[in-house]
Amino acid sequence: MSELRPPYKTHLRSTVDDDTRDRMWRRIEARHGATKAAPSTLRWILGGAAAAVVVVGLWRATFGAPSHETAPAPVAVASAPAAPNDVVIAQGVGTRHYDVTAGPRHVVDAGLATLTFDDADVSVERAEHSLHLQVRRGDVWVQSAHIKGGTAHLSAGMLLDVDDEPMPSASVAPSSAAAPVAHPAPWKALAAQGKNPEAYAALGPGGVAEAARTASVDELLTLADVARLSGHPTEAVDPLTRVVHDHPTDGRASLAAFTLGRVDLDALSDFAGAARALEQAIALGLPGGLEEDAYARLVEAKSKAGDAAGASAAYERARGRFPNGSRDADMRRWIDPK
Amino acid sequence: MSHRAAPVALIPERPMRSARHARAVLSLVRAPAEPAVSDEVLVTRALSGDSDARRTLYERHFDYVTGMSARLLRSRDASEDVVQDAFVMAFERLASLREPAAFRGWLAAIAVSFVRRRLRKQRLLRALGLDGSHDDAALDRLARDDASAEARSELAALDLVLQTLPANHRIAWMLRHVEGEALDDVAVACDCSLATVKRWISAADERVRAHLAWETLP
Repeated sequence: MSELRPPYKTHLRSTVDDDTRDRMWRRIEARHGATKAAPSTLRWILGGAAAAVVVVGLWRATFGAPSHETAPAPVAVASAPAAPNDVVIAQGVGTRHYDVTAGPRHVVDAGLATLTFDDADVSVERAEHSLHLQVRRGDVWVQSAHIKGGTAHLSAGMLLDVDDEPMPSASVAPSSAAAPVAHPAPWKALAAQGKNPEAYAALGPGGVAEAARTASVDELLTLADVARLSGHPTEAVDPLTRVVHDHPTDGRASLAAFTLGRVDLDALSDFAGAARALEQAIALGLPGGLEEDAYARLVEAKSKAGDAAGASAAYERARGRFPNGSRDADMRRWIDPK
Repeated sequence: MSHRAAPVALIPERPMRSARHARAVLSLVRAPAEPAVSDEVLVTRALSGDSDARRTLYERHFDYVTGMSARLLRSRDASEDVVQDAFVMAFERLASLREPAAFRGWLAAIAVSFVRRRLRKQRLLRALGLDGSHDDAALDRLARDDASAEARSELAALDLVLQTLPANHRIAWMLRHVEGEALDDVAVACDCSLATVKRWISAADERVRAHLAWETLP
């Protein structure tokens, strides 16, 4: 008789941990952001390039050739990789572009620094006495005796300059600071990767308020996200309010009002403000799923604001709108806290 | 326009010092009123560009997709690639999801399609002697610490016989008996009819029983 009982996974250990979860999320967000940013034509070109890379990669995996860096030699390939599956490349003076997708780990020895990556798009510009790195996608780890601490972790949108001078000579900066072509502003690139604290820092002294003055609706919503998710919920109020007041006919105004309600309710404890924003969100028109959620929050906000009658009235409206709603129990809890 | 005065923040406004700190503050912001937001709502929010909702969907389904992929592929490394690809594709194509409440099954179907692709590639590389993947998620290697020697041995035998099955049969059988999915959900994940899935599972059952000398499945 077997000791095992289905489902067999109950006999197994978990295969995940928090570090893996966080690391993968950063990669997913970086890839998601990169895809969103790429215009369709560019995506076709990148798709074609990726296909070519896959073909070349398979050819090289089969016949022992090096990685799929896009520039031709002069690149020397070491025969003894750091680990059995590593691809080790010694790069001479010049510019090389490496675009590795879920490949084996690549180790690039560029003189002043050694780069390691397995899923990244990175340019390496090596001169006689300096090195310039630009990461467009993924994560790149850099080891160098010429940078402070000896190592640096670069992610999409970051630059690193390493000089053949005494430490500390290296500087890491968001890429658009030196980018010749139209890259998004640093804070936007960072926000697209989910790096909200970094995006907030990249906004500079003017902060969210300054950027919001001339921002589009898209930018205002992103600014609000950056503020909220970097731990500055108060600063999310301004861009969200601008969307609602200045662009009331935009389809996203209701979402902005809804988010404003959430910020007021959850982070700022401004219950009356939350109730106003949520009423406005409902009035502007929300998708079904969100509308029910907005009602539930409205009941909670009014109840917390001490407006018991208003909470009950909002609950009745919600019941009329969603007779079999999934948030009914939540709302009743606020109507009758006992 | 008139902008109102900002209310007092409960959260101290100071620069983030570390990713751990950032996460702590983030959870503080999220914690109070997110009792049971449905996938449907999260999908709707994610479609509106709410990265918070995307993250919540990820957190909610990461364990499921990663565990399933690792066990199907018998490799944690390989499963990481699959999980990344699956979430990226899911977020890119979110607008094509007709029933937002069915996000989990839809995501599973995407992941399974990547698993199938990966298994084909592994088979090709193995045939060429180039497969460097590690079987660190074979069933017996994942046995819980308190598993008896007999249970470990049975898991090893089960793992061995599952490797001999055609990929579709193995995937369907594992989704049903290892992951504990309902038949309907297995059919969705395998992107085929219920009848086909039943046929695949039945064929796999027969092979498993014969190899493990189980008269019926436990």
